[in-house]
Amino acid sequence: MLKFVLKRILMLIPVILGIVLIVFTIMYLTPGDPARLILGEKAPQEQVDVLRDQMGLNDPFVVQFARYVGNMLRGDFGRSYATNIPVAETIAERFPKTAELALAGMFLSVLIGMPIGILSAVKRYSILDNISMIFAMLATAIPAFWLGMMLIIAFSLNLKWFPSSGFDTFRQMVLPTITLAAVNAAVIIRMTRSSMLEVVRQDYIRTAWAKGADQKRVVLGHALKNSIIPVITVIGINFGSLLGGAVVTETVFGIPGLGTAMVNAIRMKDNPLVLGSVVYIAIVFSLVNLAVDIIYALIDPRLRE
Amino acid sequence: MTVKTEKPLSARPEGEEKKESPFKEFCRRFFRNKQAVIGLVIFVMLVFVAVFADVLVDYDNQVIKQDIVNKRQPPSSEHLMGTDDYGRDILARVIYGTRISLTIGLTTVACAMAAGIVIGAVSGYFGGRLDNVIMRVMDVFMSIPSMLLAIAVVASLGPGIVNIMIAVGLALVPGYSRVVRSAVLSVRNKEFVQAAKAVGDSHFSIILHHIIPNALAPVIVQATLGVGEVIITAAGLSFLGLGIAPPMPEWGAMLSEGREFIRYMPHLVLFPGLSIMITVLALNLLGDGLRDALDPQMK
Repeated sequence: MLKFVLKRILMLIPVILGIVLIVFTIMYLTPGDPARLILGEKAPQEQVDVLRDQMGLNDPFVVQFARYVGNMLRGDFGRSYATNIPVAETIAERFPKTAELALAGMFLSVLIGMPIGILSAVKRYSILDNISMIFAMLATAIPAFWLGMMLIIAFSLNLKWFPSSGFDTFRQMVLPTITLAAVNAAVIIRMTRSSMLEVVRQDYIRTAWAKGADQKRVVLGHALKNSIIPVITVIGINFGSLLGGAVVTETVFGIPGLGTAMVNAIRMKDNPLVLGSVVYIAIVFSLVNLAVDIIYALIDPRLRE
Repeated sequence: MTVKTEKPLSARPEGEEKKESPFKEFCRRFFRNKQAVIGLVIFVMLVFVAVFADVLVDYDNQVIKQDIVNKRQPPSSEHLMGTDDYGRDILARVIYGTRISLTIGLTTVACAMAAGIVIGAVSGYFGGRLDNVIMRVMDVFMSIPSMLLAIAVVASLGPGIVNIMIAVGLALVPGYSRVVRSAVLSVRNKEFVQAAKAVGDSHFSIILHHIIPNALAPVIVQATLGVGEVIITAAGLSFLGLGIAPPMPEWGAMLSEGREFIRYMPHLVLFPGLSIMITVLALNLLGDGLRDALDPQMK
């Protein structure tokens, strides 16, 4: 088991380097001169040249990339062009909100998705199954940011049950969490349902019925246990889209997370902040998937090879 | 969409001996599925609206032109969906937005699909170290959440319709390459490919004439579902103010503009959002229907 974990951790290193390389390259291709951007249109060319040199912008791409990675390993993501505040500080300040939102969304979607998915599979073609399938279909077609606005109109402006912005108190957390969880819940319902249906056909389920186990035991003890792996995969993979979705949800509800910081940074052409944030979130996502892989191996010894 | 699906099926050689052609069988299965037919009908209607948007509304006078006297009107018989803060008719803008959103969705997916087919076919056909390298690169791309990859691209290239398509499309390529690759792997060693090799066909010709047509079905299904995803992501970028800028009536941009007024004029955000929902719903129904009709076991 330890060998498996170590191997997975070692495999993560090239992936993370690859992530940084891709995002760094994309941002490197930005037209325009960052030194000119910082100093403004009117600054004399000599001054811009000096700053370019100081920032190392005249170095070849490979040198700049290596320097970025080296600094990153020491927790230094560079400084914002707009405010000169270290990017790492902004991330440390803003990311917890984004993570809270994503985790709350994940929690709620699992809480809704798994039981409904199981019930749908057990009572296939029942009214409940039909309703949950219709819900799943609608939820995947609704853009999260629009759902968020509709929830604001209904529950915050008209009914005045929940506030329309912020993410500190429980009441503030309700609407953003629902907004973010809806799509994911739909995916989990579908996945749980089809995975359960797949397992229910297996011989050992028939055996369990045959030996006289009651429904609860067959469903929860035998079927669920064996159908949960694909569901966990989806939960892991979707954590990425949840983190992405959090960016949009934050904007709808005015939550001061990393997403809103990133959107502002793009408007200000503040590339280091965008680069740092995207890289940071992508690394977090890779770590989540690493954790998911390890959980698999714990649940299913076959996956340890 | 149905025209495209003809190819892989009619190209499948073993199908020709069967009583019913695979395409007929596919149609029979597809049209028996109520949801799929509903999806197809809505999609065809949307395409009709998109194609004839110019005929249905006057772009300069209804979609773009400001009419301050009639601003912020609630839905009425004259303006079925009301007017926005500049007095522009929401219905006219939603109609024109259909063209923009469908164009973005279909073009992006078509380009990403083309790239995915080339990458996946090359990777799967040649195998070995090349395959390994290509797939590891795709893995890395897939480990960046697609919305964030899109945000990075838009931050770098700036807003605009083409840049949005690049931003959203880039994230789709790895998925398509994988699907194509695994489909290619399953046909690579079939007799007809070996026959083509024996006859002395070039690699290029084998990939183009034998491998791709037989590996197309799963990617078409994924592409259909992908169009909806692209429309939502692109609208999301516009909503964040990073995509298509006003006054262009893209649905996401309309939602972004309307957001300031949701307190007083919910109709500004209601209709563009509903349009996105209906479009994506139709595409998803269609995609699921295609999948079930092409491969009944996959359900």
